[in-house]
Amino acid sequence: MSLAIFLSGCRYPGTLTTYFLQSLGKVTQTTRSLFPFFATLLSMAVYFLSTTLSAESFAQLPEPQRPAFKKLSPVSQTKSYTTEQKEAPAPQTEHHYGSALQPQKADAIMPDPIYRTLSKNNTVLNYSSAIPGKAASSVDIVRSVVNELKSYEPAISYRFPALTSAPGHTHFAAAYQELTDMLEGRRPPDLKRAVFVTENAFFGNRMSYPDYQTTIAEMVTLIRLKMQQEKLPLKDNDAILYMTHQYFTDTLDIRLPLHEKTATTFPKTYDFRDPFGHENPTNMFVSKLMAENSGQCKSLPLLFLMLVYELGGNAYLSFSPSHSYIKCRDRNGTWYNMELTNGALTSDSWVVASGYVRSEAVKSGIFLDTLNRQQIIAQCLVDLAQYYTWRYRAYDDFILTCVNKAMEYHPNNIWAIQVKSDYYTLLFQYIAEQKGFNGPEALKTDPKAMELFTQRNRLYALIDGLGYEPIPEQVYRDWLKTLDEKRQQQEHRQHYANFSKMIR
Amino acid sequence: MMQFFLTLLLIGFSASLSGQDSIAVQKKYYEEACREITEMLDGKRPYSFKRAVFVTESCFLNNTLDYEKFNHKIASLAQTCTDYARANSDSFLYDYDDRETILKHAALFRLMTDSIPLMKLGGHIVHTIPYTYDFDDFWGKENWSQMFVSKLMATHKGNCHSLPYLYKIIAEEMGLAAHLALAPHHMYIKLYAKKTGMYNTELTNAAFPVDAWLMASGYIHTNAIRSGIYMDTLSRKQSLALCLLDLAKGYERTFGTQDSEFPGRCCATALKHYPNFVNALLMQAEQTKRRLDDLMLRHQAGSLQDLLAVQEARDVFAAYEAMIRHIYTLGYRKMPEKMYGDWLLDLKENKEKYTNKKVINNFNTLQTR
Repeated sequence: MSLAIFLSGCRYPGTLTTYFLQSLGKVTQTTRSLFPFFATLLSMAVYFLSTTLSAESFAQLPEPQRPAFKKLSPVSQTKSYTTEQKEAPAPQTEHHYGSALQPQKADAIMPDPIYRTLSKNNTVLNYSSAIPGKAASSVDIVRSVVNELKSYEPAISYRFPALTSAPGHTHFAAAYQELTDMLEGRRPPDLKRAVFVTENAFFGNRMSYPDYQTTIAEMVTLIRLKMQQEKLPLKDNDAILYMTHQYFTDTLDIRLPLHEKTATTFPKTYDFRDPFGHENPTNMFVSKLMAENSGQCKSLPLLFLMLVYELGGNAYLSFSPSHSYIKCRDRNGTWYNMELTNGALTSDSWVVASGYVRSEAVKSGIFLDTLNRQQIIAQCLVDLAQYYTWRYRAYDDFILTCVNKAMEYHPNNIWAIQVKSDYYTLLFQYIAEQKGFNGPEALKTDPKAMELFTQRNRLYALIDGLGYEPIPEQVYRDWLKTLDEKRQQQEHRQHYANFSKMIR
Repeated sequence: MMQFFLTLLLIGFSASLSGQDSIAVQKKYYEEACREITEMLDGKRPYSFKRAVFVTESCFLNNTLDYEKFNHKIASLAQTCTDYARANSDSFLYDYDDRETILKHAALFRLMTDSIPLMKLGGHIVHTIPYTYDFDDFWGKENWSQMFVSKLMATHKGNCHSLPYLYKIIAEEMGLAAHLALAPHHMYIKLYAKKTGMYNTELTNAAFPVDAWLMASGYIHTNAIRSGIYMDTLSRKQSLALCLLDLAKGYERTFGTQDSEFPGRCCATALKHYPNFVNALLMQAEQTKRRLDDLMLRHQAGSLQDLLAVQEARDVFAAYEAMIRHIYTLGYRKMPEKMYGDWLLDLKENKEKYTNKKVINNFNTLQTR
């Protein structure tokens, strides 16, 4: 075992960073000029380390160097697909609800059928789901609405030009196939692999799975070692969560067996530079987090979950506006929210204090709900669709296929619904440009375009009905900062004390 | 009006104190009120929230309120509101196709929380009086009629029970929909505008708070929102169920808690139409607890073990336990009473933080000309 650590340890800073940079360099033309310089530098460093590395030098895992992304042009066409695209294309006067969701005049007591059904069907409770009292009925309603929307799709015969011949498209197709296999049970569900294939597809199959695996295995081994040294039961879920949380948030000294020295791991930090991936979408990647030891609210929870799953534990992913975090349960059934962006344990009331979580969103389960393993893999499909748009700066049917598949397993996935509504928004825009529509009258002459327009509006209504409200970036940043306030710190200490009691 | 109302109150109380006959008469009033609301719930009578609120309050005051006058007052308020909206329509900058509705809601909000000029009278402008929050006895502990809409209309001071009720009554008089929503110890109005989606109207502070104001206090468990016991819009039938519970509470206040038959029936009917109505569930649980206490006295039981030796007590205890567990899984958590005051204060102090800016920006454009 120690040899494996030794080997992976010396490869850790070098290879993955190289791969990361390599992949990045090939995706974006501008960094190509920098690439040979870095490659030489890094390979020299790797060579130097691998020849001279002894147990002593291993003992201090050097903090990986941050690669320079100076001349990088943003890959994404606009700043954010998820928030701004939705509203931008259509002038506000056209924002009305489709006929299917038009409020009935006779029964104007509730404003919209979606609101009505979501609000009123509160009699059935399903206790078997992850959080007791989760209103399964709301999810069923969303599922039926989603299915209804899907049934209109064949009628929309307009398409984007297909990108199937674009370079690297086959990798996206292969990733889709693999994720679908996992969802449909032809392949064992494996989050580690799922995240890898999505990011690898973006990089055009230039990442190395063995390296990636080795890095994860090394992290797992380090956590296991630490658990052994702290005399924690290796199979206990609480202990696994506790130590993984420690590994993420604290500087750990881990004695290596058969070595005199200890290895030191550093906390994974929040990357304040570009957490939204505006400069570069790869800033949101787990591989970036693994290479640079700093990530943001998308990559940190995913890596945490990967490690917990590898260790044999269980935790859940949960969403809030523009954010994701970990929900986990101790053996007494108490739920904890782990805010990995700064390692704090928070309460639900802190999560909603951003001010952009509506009660409808909690009720419809798009926010503050738990995602199981299958749904997280479905979320990877949504990510794949987004990476696809970032990679090619365009949309085509592939997006719809991904998102529809994801929604089969997680109907109230708000990001999937948003990608879908983006798709129809842009498709409508595209068709309107091609056909030269210049007003509502022209639109009426084309029933197929009208159908497309209606579908777009139905999706808008669905998003509104689910209680989604986009959070402005500044509000989001300010909200994350409140974690440093005294009150939150105190709350964290309280939760953490409770949580630690489970272990010791 | 104030004097008139006080007289009514006095009559009501003196009547309730004078002997068996008047008790039987008042019980009959309660029965009638209950029947009327139940018929509305069953669809045998046309729905009228106004009427339901009126009968609930009237029977507590020994049927001394005058429906004609109540009706007239509501109608005139609604008329004022409609006229105000029409007169100042041009200044209102809201351009979605539900403009008329939102304009009326803005006018109504203005009427409830601000004074609007009515007419010129001998060189003076006559204004309406706003309806404000009454900090005296807002739980209705000393006097149950503190909670009443009729009291609010007479004194222009109300609480989180009467203010939203009045809003809903006037709105429905104007042909608008207005939805009540519950929170622990609290009630507010939820409305829908196409531009902003669902938004909250808080009349106690004259504000439009975002949901976080209520949720972030920590006394609304996430499950309570999921199960729909709090922060959900109430339908017509659910609103009537609220009146039924008010009726049951009024009955308890009039005749004491000994006679649990009528309140129990009201609760059961309310729950039939609103299964997750947490206040009714709590009242039912309290009644069951009282039965347990009675059994304890009757069987001279010193401890729970002694009591549970009795078969009847075991059944009642099991029922009580099941109720409490159900209420817990729905997400209800007992909220300290002090917390409620803090809540309202929090909104007042952090108005900037909790205000729904989209709504306030639109509503503020309504200017009086």
